[in-house]
Amino acid sequence: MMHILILGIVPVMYLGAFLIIVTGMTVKKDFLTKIGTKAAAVGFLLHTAGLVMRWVESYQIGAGHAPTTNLYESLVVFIWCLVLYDLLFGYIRGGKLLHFIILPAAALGLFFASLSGSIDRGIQPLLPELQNNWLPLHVICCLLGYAGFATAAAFACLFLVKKREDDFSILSALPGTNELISLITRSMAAGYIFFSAGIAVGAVAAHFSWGAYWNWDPKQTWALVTWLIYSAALHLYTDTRRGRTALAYLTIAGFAAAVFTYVGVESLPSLHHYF
Amino acid sequence: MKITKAGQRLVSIATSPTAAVALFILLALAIVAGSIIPQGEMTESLVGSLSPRVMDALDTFQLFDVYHSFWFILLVTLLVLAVIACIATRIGHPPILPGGRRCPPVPQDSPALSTTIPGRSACRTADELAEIVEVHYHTASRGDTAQGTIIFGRRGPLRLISLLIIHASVLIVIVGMAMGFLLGFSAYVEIPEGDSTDTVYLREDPWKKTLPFTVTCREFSVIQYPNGTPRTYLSRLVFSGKDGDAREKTVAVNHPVSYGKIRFYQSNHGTIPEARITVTEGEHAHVFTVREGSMLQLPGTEPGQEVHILAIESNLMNLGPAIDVGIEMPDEQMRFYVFQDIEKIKESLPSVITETPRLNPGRFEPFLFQLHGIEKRFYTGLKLDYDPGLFLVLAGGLFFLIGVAMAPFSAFERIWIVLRDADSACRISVISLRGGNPAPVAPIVERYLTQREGTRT
Repeated sequence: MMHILILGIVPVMYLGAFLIIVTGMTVKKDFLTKIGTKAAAVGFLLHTAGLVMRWVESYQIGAGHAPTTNLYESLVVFIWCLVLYDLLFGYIRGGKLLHFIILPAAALGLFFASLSGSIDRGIQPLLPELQNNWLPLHVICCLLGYAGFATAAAFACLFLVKKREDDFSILSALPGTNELISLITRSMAAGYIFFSAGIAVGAVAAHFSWGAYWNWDPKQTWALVTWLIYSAALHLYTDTRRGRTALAYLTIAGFAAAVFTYVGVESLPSLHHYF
Repeated sequence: MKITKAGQRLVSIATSPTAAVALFILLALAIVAGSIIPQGEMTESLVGSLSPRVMDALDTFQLFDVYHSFWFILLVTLLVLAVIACIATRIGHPPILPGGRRCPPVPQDSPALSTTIPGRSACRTADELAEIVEVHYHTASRGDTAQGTIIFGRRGPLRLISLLIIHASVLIVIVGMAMGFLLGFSAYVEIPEGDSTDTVYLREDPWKKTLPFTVTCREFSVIQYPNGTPRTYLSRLVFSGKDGDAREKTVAVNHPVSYGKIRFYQSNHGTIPEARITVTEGEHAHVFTVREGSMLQLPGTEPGQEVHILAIESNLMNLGPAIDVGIEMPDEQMRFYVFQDIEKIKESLPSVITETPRLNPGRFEPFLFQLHGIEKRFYTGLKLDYDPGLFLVLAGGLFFLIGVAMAPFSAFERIWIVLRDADSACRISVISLRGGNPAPVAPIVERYLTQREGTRT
């Protein structure tokens, strides 16, 4: 169970990276910010290693499946996707903005996954209906989609705050509203591509597993709701103030639907009763 | 085909982003309603918790069957029409080749960069700018209008293709789903090991369907992990066609099989009790193997006198295994239990048989029923699916993914440069759009203008 230990260290790394970056920004020491970003990257590598080890271990104990089959595994993979977006956006756009939101959220999420008494962290053999080669791809695509939407929602919140309080000293450090809109659109588009792929691959998996690619199952239904909201958001023109504000609100509404799709529909009778 | 002004207005509305946003939001709200309000058979759970007036109101708006309601179908139809309009308008505006004849109208609402180049004629400047646009844009055109000389450039045709693919794929998916809904069917059947059937059960009227072939469950088995938990379920099936063709196929969870364009899925499994009984009439004894729901026509009985096996119980009233038998006669109905341990019951409760006719296995005279034993047999539960639109849905889904994956890598940029002479200078307006949104003017055009311009607004 080495992976449990490693995945227990990862949130400490993310939290430490966040604190170093905040300190660097506060005392305006660029080298501290760089160290923090590198610490986050090391944490991400450990995170990846932990997931790979869990995958290997599942084969060693005879269960033999990708780490995408229960709530613990999906949370750990989701947070991995989230940090991947954070690091990619930081690398491509050269911004540290997302670290402020993603890193503490990732640390909290992993602490919850690692310490919560209500989450089973064991590796279990797969139920017959889950032995579907399309399923890991479906889960990973959906989680990459959720992570993209979460990133877009974070940028949308910052946009709404920035739009109202442009002169507020801390917020003046944030990128301008134009840059934020561009970041919302890009992260949302990335999430949309993966989420669409997740729905499509899920339909293929359902076709083989349930004998129907669509069942109006609550999880499928809410995935469609989420997809429709983001489809609407992608059709908005952002050349007007109203259009930009609408985009920000739709992005946040879409993320709320995504959260409900991910964890909320558990309260409804569903064929997705695994997690 | 000439389109009237009203038609153009209608197409313009249907293809507008506002209409798309409105349709998506309305569909999302409809689906939310469908997921929150119990649908179909589940509606019964609301009876008692909601007043009849509210129930009537919900029923009137077909909120208990959202996905088949007229307004949901109307929304989907509007979406289909909007998608068709989007495709038609895109196909109706083919890429304009360099030096092409047509120039799209200048967008009126988009912000324009305005500048002047003193001492230059619009014609000369237009020549130079047209050359730049032709080199740096995939398609370019030039035209003289009342507004002045217009140079139009477009690059990123891949974007246009990706949007076309996305919209067409949505249409293909909806058509495929409609074909499956209208022409396909989904059915269920449970076949005990060793049994055959050609009758399957639907979830709606007419409830039953006869297949053009017979399915036999030769064997059902459960494969287990070393710790005993089930790993998979397998059914060895034999499909026998009317032409004498017989094929054996093994269906497992996640591994459906096809026969006669119908796919068979391993859906569920279980055991059903079977009872071996003897019915004695004088010196004649008849042996039967019966299940719950079996119907027997006993020899010598008149038509209309039927024996129904109503239930098979492993321990009825703590008196051991028994079957519940119902006798249907034209003018009378009779019901009694047949216990396997009837002799023991008689010993412990000698008068119970005479005092309680329901416990008398010889109640249906002159027949005497005896139960020899109850056994459990595995049955396989199969789901059947015939969906002629499946291929279209899969193809549409694949095209959609190709389209959305192409889109981010294929930015679609358009530029309109409007030039006219004004007070011995050339007055220029530049509108640059990326997708549908205003975008910075391409650096090559920007550089040309900054080197020559006078005043910019």
